[in-house]
Amino acid sequence: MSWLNILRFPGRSGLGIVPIGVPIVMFIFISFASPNFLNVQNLSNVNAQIAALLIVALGQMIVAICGGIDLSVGSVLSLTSAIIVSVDPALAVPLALLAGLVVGVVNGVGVTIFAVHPLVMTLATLTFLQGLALLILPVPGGDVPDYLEAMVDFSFLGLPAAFFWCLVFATAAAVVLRSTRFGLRIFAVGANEDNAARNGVNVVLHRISSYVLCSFGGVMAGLFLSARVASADATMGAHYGLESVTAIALGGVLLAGGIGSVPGVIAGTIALGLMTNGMNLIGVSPFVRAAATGLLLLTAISLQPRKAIGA
Amino acid sequence: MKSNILKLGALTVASFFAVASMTTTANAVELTAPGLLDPTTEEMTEAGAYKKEGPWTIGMSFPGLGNTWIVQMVQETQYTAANNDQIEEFIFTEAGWAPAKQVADLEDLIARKVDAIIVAPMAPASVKKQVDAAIAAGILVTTYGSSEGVLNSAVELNLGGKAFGKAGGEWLKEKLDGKGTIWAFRGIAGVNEETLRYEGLTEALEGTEIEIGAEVFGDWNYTKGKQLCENLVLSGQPVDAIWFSGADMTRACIDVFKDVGKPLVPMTGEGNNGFLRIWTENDLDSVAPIYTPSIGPALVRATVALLEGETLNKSYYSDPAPITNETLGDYYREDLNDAFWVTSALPEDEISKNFAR
Repeated sequence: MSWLNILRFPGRSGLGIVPIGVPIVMFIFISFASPNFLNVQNLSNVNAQIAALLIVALGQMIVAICGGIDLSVGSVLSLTSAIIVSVDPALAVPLALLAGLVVGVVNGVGVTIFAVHPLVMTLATLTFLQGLALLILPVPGGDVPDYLEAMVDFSFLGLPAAFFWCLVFATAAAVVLRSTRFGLRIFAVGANEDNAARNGVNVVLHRISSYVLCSFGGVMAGLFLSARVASADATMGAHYGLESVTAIALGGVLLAGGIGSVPGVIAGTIALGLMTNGMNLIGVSPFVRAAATGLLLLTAISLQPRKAIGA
Repeated sequence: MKSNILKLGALTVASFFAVASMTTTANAVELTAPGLLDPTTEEMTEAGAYKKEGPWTIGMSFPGLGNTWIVQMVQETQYTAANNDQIEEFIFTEAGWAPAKQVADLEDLIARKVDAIIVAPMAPASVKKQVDAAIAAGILVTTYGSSEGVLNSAVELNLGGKAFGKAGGEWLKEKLDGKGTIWAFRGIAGVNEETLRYEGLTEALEGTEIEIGAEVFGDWNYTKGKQLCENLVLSGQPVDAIWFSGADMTRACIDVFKDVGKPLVPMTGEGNNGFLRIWTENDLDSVAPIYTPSIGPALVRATVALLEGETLNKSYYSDPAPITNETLGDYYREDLNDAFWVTSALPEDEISKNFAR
């Protein structure tokens, strides 16, 4: 099958012409519209700006492929930020990971065992976790452990730390999706959970695991973002839940489950990052900006209609 | 003895000229209308330290939009910038109340190689790295709000904060004679300015028998404030007075009280024409601290003054006397709509054009 055919009929990757084309068109347009866009500093900024969203979106992608959605991941990010400045630095990361694990399990159990709709379940968790984060850290500030700051503040071979964070998590997600039984099975669960169950797939376990991985992404993004701004904020992740859903939708992930890919999520995240960066560089009015962003997203997503899974 | 007297005389004369020169310099740049903004330190910026040849590109990073005060402040800021021949471009960015987006906005402004950045930080600590990076890149940074030493900006223009919350708290203390139950309507959770205002309230209530019976976050927003007030009123919880963290929430709650026919209780407000109208038309007992939108133009003027090589005090604070039952008539404008906030730096024709009823 030729590359053109793969793009026209992307199969379970969802990686069609639109997800790939949108960031490329935006890149070319902003390059002409703003002379500062292509300078190394700005491209490095864009990389750092999208890293946290990419990590969250990769987790969101796993849940979405498995047929769910996790709106609470932004609050997990906020909670992580609150935790790491409120406990002993040596315990910061283990405690944040433990919190992520608990949240993932609670979400997964709620959705699978208690049959709560994913939107309702994760919206409830979102609200609870946001309140908890504000209880732990009512005022932004605090000292992020030095070792975390060092992990986001280096460059290697001329490439910034954010690039390596993106590389590590994108590679890990790609390996999980493409080279493990777990990856294969979540596609099966998301496409048709009854068929998957009849073929011996433990649907409950895979659904719960997908929520745990998504929360894990929220924790990692929280560590990255807090270290990047060298400070904690209990509302830091408030927008990441919906933005990650937007990023994966732009990247061709089917929100009904069964379709999605890491390159698509990377493309969707880059498109969102370029939108913000481009409008700042071009100097678009804040009153026009929200409308323009919505219009662009609507256009991009409308150009990716699907009649059935795998079409 | 004679020598000592001469020395004392010389010192007095020198001190007089030093103070006179400082006052002259500070007053040479009119940042706002008289009485709205006062220096809080004698420390001055170094003359010519931030001087740059024009025309300039100035960027502003603001936490987010969401109420009519912000919209007016943005309009006034952009109007002031547009009417300065030396400002080639004024870029306003807003972060949608997301700390990470504000960091990204500042990075983008630095990449854009602007000449100066006006930053209104959601939390000073969150943007410290970017402010330091801007300064290292030779960009002048002025701050809206007090960073309490966190940010190394050239000049800080501050308003509101603890004093805003305290003004309302002190007034309620007096109205309730030191005892009773109040509701507290707060702004957006986690925002520095909001926390400071609330701290001002709790400081004012220390040592009294006034209890905060209910505490909600109305996001400084009319719609959310109205929903929360409806819930509280219909719950039947006792209330003797209400403290508001400002913006459109008081107006929303008064509407709720009127809708359900509940007698109004003392409520704190803010210098918004819609609130002043309701205050005027109803038998309301209130106080309204002034949080002037002309802080935006003042920031532009301060930034321009520094780029021109002028010297300014390192920090200023706006704390005009709050509007009271006695001074209400001086501020309420019957000819203007509810979206207008006092006090404005716009010329009268612009005010009429934008805010006519």
